[in-house]
Amino acid sequence: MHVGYVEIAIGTILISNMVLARFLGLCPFIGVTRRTSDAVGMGFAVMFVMTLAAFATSLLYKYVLIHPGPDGFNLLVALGVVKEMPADGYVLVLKTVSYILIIAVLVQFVEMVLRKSVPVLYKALGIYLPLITTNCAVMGVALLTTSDWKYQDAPLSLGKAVWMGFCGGVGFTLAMILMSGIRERLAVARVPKALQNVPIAFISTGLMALAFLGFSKLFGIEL
Amino acid sequence: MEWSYVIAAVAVLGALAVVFGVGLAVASRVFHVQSDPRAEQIEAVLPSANCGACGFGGCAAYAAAVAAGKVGPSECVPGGMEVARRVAEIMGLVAEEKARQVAVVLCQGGNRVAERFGYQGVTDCRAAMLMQDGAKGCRWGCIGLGTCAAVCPFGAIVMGEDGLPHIIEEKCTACGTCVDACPKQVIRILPAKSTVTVLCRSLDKGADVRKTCSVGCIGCKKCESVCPVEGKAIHVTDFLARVDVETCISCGKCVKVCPMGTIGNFRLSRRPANGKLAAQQEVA
Amino acid sequence: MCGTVKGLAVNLLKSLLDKAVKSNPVFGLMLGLCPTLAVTTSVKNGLAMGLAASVVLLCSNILISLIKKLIPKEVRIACYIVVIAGFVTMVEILMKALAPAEINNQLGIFIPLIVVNCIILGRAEAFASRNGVVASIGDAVGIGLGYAGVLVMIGAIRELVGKGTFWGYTVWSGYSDAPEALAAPATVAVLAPGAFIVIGLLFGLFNAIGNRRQAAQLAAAQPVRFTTSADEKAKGASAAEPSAQ
Repeated sequence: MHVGYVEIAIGTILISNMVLARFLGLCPFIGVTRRTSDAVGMGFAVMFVMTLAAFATSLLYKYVLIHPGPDGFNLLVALGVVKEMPADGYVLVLKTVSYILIIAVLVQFVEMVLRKSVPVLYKALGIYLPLITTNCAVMGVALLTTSDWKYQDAPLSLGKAVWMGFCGGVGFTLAMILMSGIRERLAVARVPKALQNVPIAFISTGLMALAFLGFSKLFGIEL
Repeated sequence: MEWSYVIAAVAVLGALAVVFGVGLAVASRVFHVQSDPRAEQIEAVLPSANCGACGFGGCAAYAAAVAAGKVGPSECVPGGMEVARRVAEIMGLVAEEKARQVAVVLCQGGNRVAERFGYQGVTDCRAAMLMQDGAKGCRWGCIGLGTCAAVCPFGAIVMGEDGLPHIIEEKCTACGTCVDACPKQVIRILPAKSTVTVLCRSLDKGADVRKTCSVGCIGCKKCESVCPVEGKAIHVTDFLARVDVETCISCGKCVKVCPMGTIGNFRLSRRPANGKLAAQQEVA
Repeated sequence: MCGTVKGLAVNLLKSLLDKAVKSNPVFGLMLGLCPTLAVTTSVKNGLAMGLAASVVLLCSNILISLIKKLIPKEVRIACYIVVIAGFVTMVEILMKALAPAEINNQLGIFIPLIVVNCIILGRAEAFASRNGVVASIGDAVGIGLGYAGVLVMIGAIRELVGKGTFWGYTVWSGYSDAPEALAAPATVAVLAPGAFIVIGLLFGLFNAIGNRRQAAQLAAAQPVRFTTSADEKAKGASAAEPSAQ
């Protein structure tokens, strides 16, 4: 299966939606979707951070952490820190730590930029902005973008990696907006007392996930 | 033990740390935001309810306005005198006294009033208004679906078994959120010292009121005739009695003489804070 | 002497149970939801994840409570994350070496994602940074037990309903004479929708239990009834003129 930009878009937004199929980013999904305005703000912030994170982690992965292949470039080798990159990939164990560092710094940076340039959005997002750091969606997207690919021999190109990060964010935002619309209606409906608020939100998510399951193998894409 | 493993790991993480440390330090200079430290101090003292009673869009906005000198320190209603004093201290001003106020529900109908039709829809009073101004027989009275209880930021309103909202006076801060939310405008903010209030808003003729509600005001003027205050502290206009809070002396004569039981003597019906029955309280 | 040891043991057990049940990380504190739904496709996976997360929690609680005085306040969250990431990397390597390949495949990216599991960061911030080492160990054990317990429970439900097996041993595989619904295990339970619906129903169940307990407590307390002047009027009509003041 050819992994092009269109396949990545359809695969990441519809077929393997970050929230509804991959279970990433559930804490903000349940926490922030009581109002659509909050959901939209959070969704866009996450989209922004995801794209930047995919870019940075992809750079680190391709040029520092893995064996570069016969014609590739590796920073550690170029700087003479190691004589040659090992084939068994021991430097890859640094993936987890370095990715989370990158994401934490990115979020801090985005917070500073927002506070200066768009203070209204900064106030609106409030505590949710620093919480993007511990959002499994961003870390999850970074890990997915830089993992072994079923259909390719080499890691994703930088452009496709960034595109995948962006589409992951789009899928996340889509799910959040759909969920907040449903929850606003659920808030004034007659729900049995035990199921009010969180339980009915989860059950609705399950029904949404069931609907999205219908997208699997769309156009023969298996992402 | 392959030392190159260790060196590579330390090099990668160390380089990342240096790059990020320097980067963040530079960024915090470039994106530095000037903020008045007093605004942050004031915001820390406010109750953070973001109710808007001060007239600003949230506690942060009010704190910024006070720090900028645009408004006085006593505007926070939920905070009361305590917060006003502290804000004034931070700004170096004097806080003025504001008499305690409380929200009162001007209706006793609730489940006593028959519904004109069965309403099955969104359980929100504002939504029910879209269906011919609500299902209750009296078009001035409380619909009873609990919008006020839902919007109260302090949890001071509880929907009772009689279909009416009950205000927990200890928690009510008179912020006015329920007043804005109620589509029938049945909740009012009144001074806490006033104990006699007409618990009805119906402008219907007496005969019509009797048909729908057993406790509504019929405009018989018995209260007006028995009021001992010179110039009368209670007047009936448009078939509804209204108490003038400035001149009312809370003697309770109108409460006893009202044939429908519409006038509330809050010495009896306010929930006492110390657990004693209202009738056993010291009459102020 | 024996009494105090027994008292200590009872206290310890009670505090552990409190942490595991009352402040259960998933149903009480609503933390760590992502891995809870993703890995509970079977009991084995749930247990593996629960153990991995508990080990990381224990180690990070110990280390953070040891170095809590050295961490400056502004960068404390970043420090906790780095400590947790270190232990997660260790657990990752251990699991790749020791755990069976199928478990590693099924848990996939959720092992490195333990580093952003809100439970571990949350306990570091709320408990380990303020209490001593022994208390932090106890906290980690209690919370870890609670978390692993929840994962195993949900894994068991989903595996039984969705695949008809328990720990890989077939329990039921469909009744051909029965109505359509029972003809085969409901595979949807081990897929995404099933996860959400199962946990939604479980939340609802615990809410119902909590509500019933709250209602019992309220009923035991004094009922307060608000009176209005209309009620006083009705009372006054039947009795002799009561002094309204």
